[in-house]
Amino acid sequence: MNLDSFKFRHFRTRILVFVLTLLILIQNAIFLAVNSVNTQNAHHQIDQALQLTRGLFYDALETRKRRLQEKIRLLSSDYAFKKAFSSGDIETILSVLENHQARVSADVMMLLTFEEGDIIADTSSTTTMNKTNSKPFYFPELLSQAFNSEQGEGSAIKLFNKLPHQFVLVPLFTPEPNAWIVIAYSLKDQFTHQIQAATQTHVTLFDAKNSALDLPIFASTLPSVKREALADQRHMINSLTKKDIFNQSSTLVLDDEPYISLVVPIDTTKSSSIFALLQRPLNKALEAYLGIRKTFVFVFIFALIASVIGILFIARSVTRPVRVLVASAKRIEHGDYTTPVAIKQRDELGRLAHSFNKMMKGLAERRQVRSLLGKVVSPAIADELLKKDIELGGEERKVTMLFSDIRNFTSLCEGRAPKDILDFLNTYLTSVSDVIEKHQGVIDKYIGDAVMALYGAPIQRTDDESRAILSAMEMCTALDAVNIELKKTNKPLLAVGVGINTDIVVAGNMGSKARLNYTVIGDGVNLASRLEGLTKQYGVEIIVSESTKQACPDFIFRELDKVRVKGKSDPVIIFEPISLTKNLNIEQSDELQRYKQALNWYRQQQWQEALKGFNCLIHDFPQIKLYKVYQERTTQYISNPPSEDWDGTYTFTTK
Amino acid sequence: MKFIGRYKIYYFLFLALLCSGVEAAQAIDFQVFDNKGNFLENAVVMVTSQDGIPLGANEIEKIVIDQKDKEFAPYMTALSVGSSAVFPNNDKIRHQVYSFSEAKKFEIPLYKNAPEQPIDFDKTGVVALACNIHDWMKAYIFVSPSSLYAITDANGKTKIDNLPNGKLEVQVWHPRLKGKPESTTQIIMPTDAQPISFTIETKRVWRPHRAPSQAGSGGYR
Repeated sequence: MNLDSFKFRHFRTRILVFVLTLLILIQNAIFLAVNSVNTQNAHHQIDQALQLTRGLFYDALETRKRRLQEKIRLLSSDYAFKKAFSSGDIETILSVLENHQARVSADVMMLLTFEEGDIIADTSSTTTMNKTNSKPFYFPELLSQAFNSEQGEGSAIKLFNKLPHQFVLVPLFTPEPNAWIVIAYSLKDQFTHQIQAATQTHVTLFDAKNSALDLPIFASTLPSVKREALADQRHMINSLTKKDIFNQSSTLVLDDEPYISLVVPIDTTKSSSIFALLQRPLNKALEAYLGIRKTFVFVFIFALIASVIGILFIARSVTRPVRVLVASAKRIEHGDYTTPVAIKQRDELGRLAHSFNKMMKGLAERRQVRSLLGKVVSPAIADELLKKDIELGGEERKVTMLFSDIRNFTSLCEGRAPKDILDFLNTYLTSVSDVIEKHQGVIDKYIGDAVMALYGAPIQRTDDESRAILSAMEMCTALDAVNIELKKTNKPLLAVGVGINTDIVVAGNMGSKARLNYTVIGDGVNLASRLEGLTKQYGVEIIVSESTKQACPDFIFRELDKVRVKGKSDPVIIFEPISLTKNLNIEQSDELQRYKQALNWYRQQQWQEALKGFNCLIHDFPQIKLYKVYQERTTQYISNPPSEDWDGTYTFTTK
Repeated sequence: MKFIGRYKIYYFLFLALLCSGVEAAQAIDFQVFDNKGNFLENAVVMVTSQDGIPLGANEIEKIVIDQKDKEFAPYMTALSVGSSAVFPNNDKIRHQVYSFSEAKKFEIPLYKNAPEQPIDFDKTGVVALACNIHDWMKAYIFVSPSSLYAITDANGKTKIDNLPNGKLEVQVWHPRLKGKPESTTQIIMPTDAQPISFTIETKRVWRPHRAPSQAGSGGYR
């Protein structure tokens, strides 16, 4: 099963499903509990009522029996009847019985001989008895019951003429007991209705003898439809009559209506096959509850609808601002900081929106600052500055510093509008900056036409020195385009001078707490600047220090000189990068070889050889200023040799 | 209990009357028990000859059976056939004495005080007396063919004097006797001078309730 289908994409759906599920669960639990309690209660009440009815049923039977006894006793003590009996005239006796039967509205009356229990007279029989056709009483057990009783009386409910009859039997005293008088009442609908009237319980009398096959009903208060339905339940009823305990009620469904039913034997000694079925409709007991249940269902539906509406409303009040916030966040992602979130709510979401707007404003400012910073300082420095807390102070690190300058810039400015100069300068610096940034150099600052760039700060790379030299070489060609323009207008051509030095310096934020720069400080910085200044002395574009040269084995350098620059006591060897080793051609290599030889002679003070060498080089390469510089120096030293301890160092006294 | 006490007085008076004018011959004591071993009071013991022929001079008596406090007194009377009885009413209310017994059917319609004509008992057998308006009132007259009879006392004991010599037949009757008196028959020799005991089978007797009276003396008799 795919679990994703259970994840709700919408907050509204989630809260809706949760609350509705909870609501339905709770409502169902309550409903089931109430239903169960009520149904149980109804069952219990009906059970009690049925038990009561059972008691009343037996009481009614007992009362009827006693009434019968009283009625029959009247006859048994009736003097006229005694007289009639002693006359021995059976027809008279029968007539008296019939008369008495009419008096007391009995159904049957009989007179039996005392000793044998034979029928002398029977009001239900059509044939007249005499001594020859007398037959024994139908229920001899009733006779023995009477014989053995205290009062000489017997009673029982018996099936007679296919109907249950309540029989009572008493002796006729003349004054000695000389005969039995029998009286019987049939139990018909009148009886069951009488009990129903008193108990509100349906009463049905039936014969259980063959109840599995047939259910003869003698009397019932049930309407005829239900009465017929009883026959369909005869198997169930049959099993109920077989129960040992008659205290337990069962539910019989008659014509789709459940009845709580109790089967009771009409004779507590269970000697009779006649049973009474006491029934109460369950629905009637549940009537009040069913009314409440309707209300309950209505309330449930109302609660459900109210919950849905409420949840949708609440969810909307949450999701709508969230959606607005999401849209706003999307806009910010795409760089739109201008549209604030318009949420007027005063809840948490309102506060969130407020914070969101503030945050957006902050982001916009930050972005602005960032973009400005990137313009003011190099992007790498901007990153470095933004990365951590800005604080004064720095760290020692190895940095390669590059200084570039336009030579003859002063003369260039002559006779020009400052705005034109600025335009030119901007064009130049843009192209130079592009070159530096292309080689991952970091522009530290612009000083007029001069540019100071760093390699190795703030981000150190392994080939900082090489990149610095490559940048310098490219910077020189960048001027070519400018020079073409200048040549057209007959202006002096521009040349660039670059000094590069690698040294351990301090890199960091310098200045005051309120205003600071990321830059590098150290002796090495000054040297780089000095080297830049030296370029015009030797007529070269780029001068690198020894420390830089040593880090760049891929390049071919020419050793320019060993100099003591102004302000420094130790001499430094300075070099001019020629090209990448792989790009060096034979002519260059030969020239460098000849120069190196001449420089050696110069260092060993073999002035004549040196002079010859330099003159030769001048002859072959007249445009190289360096050779002329050495020719002049050698000529000078010939006439005015240096001191004994001269180590080949040339000392500059100017910047 | 006070009724029983009264019977005894009548009973002893009666015995004394019997004994006074008869020549003394053999006398035999009798005792009657029911089948549970209880003394049976008011049992009639009657002696005839061995063949059932009545013995003794047929003494015609004229006895009185009182009605007092809605009861007959005495409850049990034995008399020789041909005797008569009167039923004086000593109550303030009327009584209607009747009998449907084969031995004597009669009816004295509601009457008060003065004894009516005496009723003659000229047929042997048991006459069950009752009052039409008081179901519980009951008395028995044993109309004996023989003059030799007696009624047992509270201890079931009685004695018959002036018995002739030779084998005699003795029968016992009681209202609770199950079956006929013939079933109790014993042959005795008066010379044995032994007390004769009878154990008779009794039957259940149902008695109607006595109606509660102003005297408050309800219940069974």
